[in-house]
Amino acid sequence: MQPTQALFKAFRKTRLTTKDVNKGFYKGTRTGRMGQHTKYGGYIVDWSRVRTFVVPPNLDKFKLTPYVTRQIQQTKGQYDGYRMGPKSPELYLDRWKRENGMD
Amino acid sequence: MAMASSIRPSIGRILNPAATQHTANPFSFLTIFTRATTQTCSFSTTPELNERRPRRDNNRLRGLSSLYRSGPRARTNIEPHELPKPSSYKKKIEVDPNHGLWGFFYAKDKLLPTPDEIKEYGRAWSAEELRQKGWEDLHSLWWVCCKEQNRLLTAIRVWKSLGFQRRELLQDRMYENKITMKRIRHVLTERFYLWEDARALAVSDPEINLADTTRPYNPSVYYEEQSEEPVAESSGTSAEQSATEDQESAAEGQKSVTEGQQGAEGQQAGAEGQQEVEKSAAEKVEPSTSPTDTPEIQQPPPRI
Repeated sequence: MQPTQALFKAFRKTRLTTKDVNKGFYKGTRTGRMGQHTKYGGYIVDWSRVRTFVVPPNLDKFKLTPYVTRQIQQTKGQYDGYRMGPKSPELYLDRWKRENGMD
Repeated sequence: MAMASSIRPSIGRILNPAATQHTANPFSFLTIFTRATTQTCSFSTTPELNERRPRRDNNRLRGLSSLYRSGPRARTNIEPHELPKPSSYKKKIEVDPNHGLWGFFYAKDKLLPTPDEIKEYGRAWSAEELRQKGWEDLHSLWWVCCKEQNRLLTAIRVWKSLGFQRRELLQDRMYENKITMKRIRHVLTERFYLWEDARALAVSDPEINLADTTRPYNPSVYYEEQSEEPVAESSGTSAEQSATEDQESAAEGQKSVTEGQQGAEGQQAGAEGQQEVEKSAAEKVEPSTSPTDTPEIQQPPPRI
């Protein structure tokens, strides 16, 4: 086994990466913008844009699995009388009134 | 130096054969003089001292290697495969059986599940089934799907590294898992947009007065309630927030496999004993992929 040979001039033809060029070249890594730069070179983090992953409690006791048994057929929901079916706001409102309105 | 000393005696013998040889035999004396007249070789056939050294391989253990398993140099009575093997020198590492990284594998004793085990999976959740679920259930289900995805990706990687062909089994299972996750996301976004649209609609609804936070809903027609509704845990400041919370807790009560039937009951009988229903349903619920002898056909919930 031999070590990788150095590229020398062939490097000029390759695409720039984040590690190349001392300054002046920025290439992101698809993580998104998390704040804004200050004119003094700093950065103010916008915490509403920062991702937070919340683990649901009692995950080990959770009984549902990613798959449903094939013995149960997929059924279509009945949305008679609603113009947009499951996406109609009247459905949502009616259900709220029925289940929750009198609280 | 050695050359000179070795040459000298031989040369001496050649030059003065009469002096060195014992002339006991008169015939030999004569042969000396006769030999002097014929051709003589000026070199001796006796090898030099350097040539007389023992020509051997001084490396007694040449080629002998335990690393490369050359085998012994000496002849043995046993076959090569009967030779004793070196003892285990690898350190035994103790592993925590409850380590979180075990979640990346299907089994602790195997790298890969067998093809029969890979084939044992159901179908993806349908959007309709997911619409019945509340936030907590969907949140937990998403994480369960993520863990399954991790396991599948590990298995695919191991499959590839071992050089097995035909990853369709794993890829199909991965597809079902991804579909479930996509549908969860779809249902949640749909619910959010629905909430926004319903809020906009509630502005124009005569029965609802959004300015009144304690009692926004004033139905025009009152029905006789069958039972007293226990107040659900809703400490929301605005009515709509409490509405969504209660709705989700109501949806949460329908956790079991017979969700459609319970959903129908829940809607018709109101929130009566819903908390008790929630607890009993959670205890009695069966995992959705466990094979049941009597397939329960889900009834679609009758919507008014």
